[in-house]
Amino acid sequence: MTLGSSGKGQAPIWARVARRGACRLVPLVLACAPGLASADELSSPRVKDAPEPAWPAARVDRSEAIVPLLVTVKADGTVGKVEAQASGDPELESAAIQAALRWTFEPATRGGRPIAAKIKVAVRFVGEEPRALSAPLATNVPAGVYVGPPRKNASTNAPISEPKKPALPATSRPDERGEPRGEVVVLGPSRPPPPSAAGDHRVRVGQLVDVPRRSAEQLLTLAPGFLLQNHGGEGHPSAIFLRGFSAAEGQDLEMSVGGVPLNEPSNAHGHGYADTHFVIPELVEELRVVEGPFDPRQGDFAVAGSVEYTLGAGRGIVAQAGLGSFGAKRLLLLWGPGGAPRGTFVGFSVTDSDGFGRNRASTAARAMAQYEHRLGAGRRLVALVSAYTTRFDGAGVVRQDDFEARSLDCPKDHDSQFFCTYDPNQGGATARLDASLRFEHKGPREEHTHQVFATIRKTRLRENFTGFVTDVRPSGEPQRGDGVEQMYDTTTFGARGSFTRTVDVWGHRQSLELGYFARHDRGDTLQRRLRRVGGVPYRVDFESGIAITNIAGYAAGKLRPASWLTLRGGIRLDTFGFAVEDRNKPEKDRSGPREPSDTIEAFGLTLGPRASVEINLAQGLAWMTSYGAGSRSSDAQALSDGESAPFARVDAFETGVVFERSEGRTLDVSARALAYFTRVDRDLVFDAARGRNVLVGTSNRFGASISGRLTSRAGIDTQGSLTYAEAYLPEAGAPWYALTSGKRLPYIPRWVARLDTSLRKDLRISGVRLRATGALGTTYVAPRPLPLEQFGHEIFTVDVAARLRYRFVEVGIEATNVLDRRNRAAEFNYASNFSLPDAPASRLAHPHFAAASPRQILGTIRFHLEAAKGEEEAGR
Amino acid sequence: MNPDARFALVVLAFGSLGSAGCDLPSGTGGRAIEFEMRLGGARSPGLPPGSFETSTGWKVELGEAVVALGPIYVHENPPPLAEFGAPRGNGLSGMLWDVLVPDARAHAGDQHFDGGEVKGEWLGQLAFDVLDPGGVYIGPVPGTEGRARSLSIRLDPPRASIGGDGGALRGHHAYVVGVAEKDGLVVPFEGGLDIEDEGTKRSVDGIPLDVSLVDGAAVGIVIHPSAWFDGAHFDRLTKKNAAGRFVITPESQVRTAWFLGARSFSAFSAETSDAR
Repeated sequence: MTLGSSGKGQAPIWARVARRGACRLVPLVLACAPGLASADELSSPRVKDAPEPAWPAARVDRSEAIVPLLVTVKADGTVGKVEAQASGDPELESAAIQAALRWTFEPATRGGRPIAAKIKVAVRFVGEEPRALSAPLATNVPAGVYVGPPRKNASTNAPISEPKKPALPATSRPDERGEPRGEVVVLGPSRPPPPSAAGDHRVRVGQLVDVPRRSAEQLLTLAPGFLLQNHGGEGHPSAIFLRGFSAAEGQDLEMSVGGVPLNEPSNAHGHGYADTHFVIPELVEELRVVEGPFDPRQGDFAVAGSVEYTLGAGRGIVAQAGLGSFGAKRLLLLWGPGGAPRGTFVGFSVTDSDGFGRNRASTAARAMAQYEHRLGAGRRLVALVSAYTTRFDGAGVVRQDDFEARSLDCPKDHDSQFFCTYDPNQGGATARLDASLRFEHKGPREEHTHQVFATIRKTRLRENFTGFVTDVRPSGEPQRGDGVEQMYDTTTFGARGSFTRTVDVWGHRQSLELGYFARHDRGDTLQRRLRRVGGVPYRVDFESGIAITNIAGYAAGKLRPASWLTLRGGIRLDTFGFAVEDRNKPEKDRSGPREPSDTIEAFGLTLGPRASVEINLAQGLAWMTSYGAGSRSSDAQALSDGESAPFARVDAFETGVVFERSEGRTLDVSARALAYFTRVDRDLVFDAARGRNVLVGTSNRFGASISGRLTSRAGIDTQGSLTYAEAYLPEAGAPWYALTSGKRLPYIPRWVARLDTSLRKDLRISGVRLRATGALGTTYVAPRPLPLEQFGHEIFTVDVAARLRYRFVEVGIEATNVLDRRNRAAEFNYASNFSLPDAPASRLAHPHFAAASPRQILGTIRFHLEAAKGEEEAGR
Repeated sequence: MNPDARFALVVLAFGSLGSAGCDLPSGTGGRAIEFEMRLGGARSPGLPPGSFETSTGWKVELGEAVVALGPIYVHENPPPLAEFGAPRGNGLSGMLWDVLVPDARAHAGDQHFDGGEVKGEWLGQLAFDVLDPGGVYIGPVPGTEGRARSLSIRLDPPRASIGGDGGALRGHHAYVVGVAEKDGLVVPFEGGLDIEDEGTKRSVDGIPLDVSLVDGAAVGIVIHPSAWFDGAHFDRLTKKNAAGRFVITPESQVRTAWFLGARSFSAFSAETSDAR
């Protein structure tokens, strides 16, 4: 390729001149060899070093753009003057000019003597990866650059590994005007779709993977405001608190992994139950967390918001073994085949632990494999398969008064009582298989994505919240116990996709996306009561066969009438068809014998408009205000035949400022501050007697958050957030703006603070080169309001990790809750009786808690087998 | 200030914030309180304790009357019959409307009484001497602030841990010794009451009450022994014991009347007073 794209006799030569970091494309510079022979003839400048330009960090719109430059290469090889030529976009011109000023050349020569010369280049900014909501999300890595002739579709160019340095031809006349004779293409990953609201967080895990986290769900704490509380055991998904919502295990949070939806409709444990424990945490590259229903792509359960995990892995093989306290053992194997994209990987993980107290043992095995095949011309195919199985025990809750009186059936010391349990029948097991196939195509003006997915799962959970309260005992016999067994055995099939068309109007790129979503869930959901002794089922609460179909379509548009103003919005229509066979009917009624089952059918539809206004206040600083209406479908257990299925509807407002800035290649800074208000018309709150959430009516929430992240190329990555949330059940007839009307919703965390920091440093000790890593993660949660005007206990955890790597061997140690505080994973206030089956049962609410993990230490040894040179990774 | 100190300061600041929050009500409603609870026996005006006349014309004088009471629960919901008798309108039209179109009454589920949230409870059990003129002070019991509208009292078999003179119960739920007299016929009697563990037989639910529970409020429960034998025919007792008293046997009419009377709403009443 040549700088002068049409010049005869100019042969293209590509060269790789640098590679920094595992996920960057390198600056590649092309020039033509002039092939001049005489002493007076010219030779063109040859590039020596060309640091890549990057997309402006704060730029939201990353649609394709060209910046023509006229670059003066001085006789000493440095760049003198750089002029942008009528791109019409100062932001991109600045980025291109700043990069060009750092380039160095072997100067042009005339008769062998260096001379100054002017060259023309065109810097084209394109996004490499077309992205839809369901597609892998881009990370904010610096872009790569090459210089070459204009391409028909620059986005499809694979990285070039030709190790030759090209030459740039000098212009024959330095002051020549005209079309650019070459171009620089910035192959930065684009970020479509842009943030839909100030609370739309794209969280790159990056270096913060160093902070100890025991599961993929704990990565959620990288986004502001998340509190996770596990009261059910190691394999039990945590209850999630976000923006004043007690989202349980997913009832108010739409969750997906690689586009595969996780929320399980009408799960016996809770409608919308979502389990991310099948995900190997090391394979999570990024999370997109939209706090609130502000994106038309968000569907069912996006009440508090949505979370999407994007998977990926580095090249090479990582094998890790870990041994820790409480008999913890972990084996991890990751493989990213050399030369393949990061989207191609295999992961395998086995964990086993005796648990940190009575009845907390667990074992799990996970396997994930993804293959990304690039078909050329902007098309790619991504296949994902994952398998997971676990069995775990659960300790459940203990009463505060029993703990204080040391009356639990455990040794009488403080810790044995704190970590004790009433019912050893508690625990669970899960097995699941997920598969997905996704096709993506990105053209110059069109993009489309299609995905099919399937999930087979079976979950069994056993819990006992109340002891001996709810059983209506047989005459003359003691209560049998309130143990609950919940089973969910279903299969999911579905598809999703989108089509995006862009046009250039008013000097800016405008876009319209049309998308679809279809999902069918079929299977059984069951809840039974268990005897305290032996755990034998004695009564069926409900047993249903479900067939639920969710079909949705949406339109999402972006309108940018001026460079300072961007309007986004759209609308989503969700339809649901329910067919439920109730198999828990009596075998006879007043008319005589009958079949013990009934079938009901119901249908419902809901419309969700979303809109957002973005005003660019300054470079890197934007003010975003958003409104969105989201919904949660009805639990099939609650429907009647022929009913127009009701929805919990949420109306959310949010306003905030977003700041993002990249200081060249050394520092990325981002920060957000926002406030929100949310109103839900049919909210659910946990009911201990039923072991699940029950309807409580309308609720209001409001709050604010600030967050920021600072990433330095020097090896420091730190992120912090502070959030405040309030939630109220308004009195009947109270207007929507009476935010604090009525009683405060219990259990909602008001203040949540989180800090994650990682430091990586190369050391040289006695001539031996080592890589040292240190990481810290800390969470503080102020005492939460509990029923009866009470407050719970504050939560404060500090997790640390340290690792040292020599060549391919890395040893490490991780400590969670390093201060060994006795935190409470969950706190409840309700009536229970854990004394004796025939003891008088207390009916007054009383504090209960589930103990959180004490200090746990895990020692690891890790072996890195890097990919061969030149096979590190296909371009991202 | 070094980073560690700054971090500690931030933690301290949030800790103070949280601690300050703990001193305030959380706003979730229903503050935990303690209120006073007493038990007492009713006496008929002008008569000594334990003396009363039944609707069947018997003049009864109890020499002993002990009953095992507890647990006791205080509910937020009124008894289902509490609204009976309240006209829907003032004046003649309201009364006419009530007569012409009486209310239809129904309840959800398979229980006639839904007490709703329990606002207070006493989980103990006491062998209560109904004839004790001073009654018994149970003490402060835990509860939840707010209005309470009814009581439930359990009539369980005496536990080993029962308070009071459990021996006086002689192993029964209740025990009486007394004399009944009608038309010159004097029937000395004695016996115990046992209640089957069937359904809700051992629970007296929906005893009317109206009190705003706050710290220091008092709830007194009054037992009316006059209701115990309201429909009894003592002349139908046939079996005598060694002491020469007629025995209230399980199959006797007096026992049936006693069972019905002891579990009737008229066997209990509540007296309340505000906090001092």
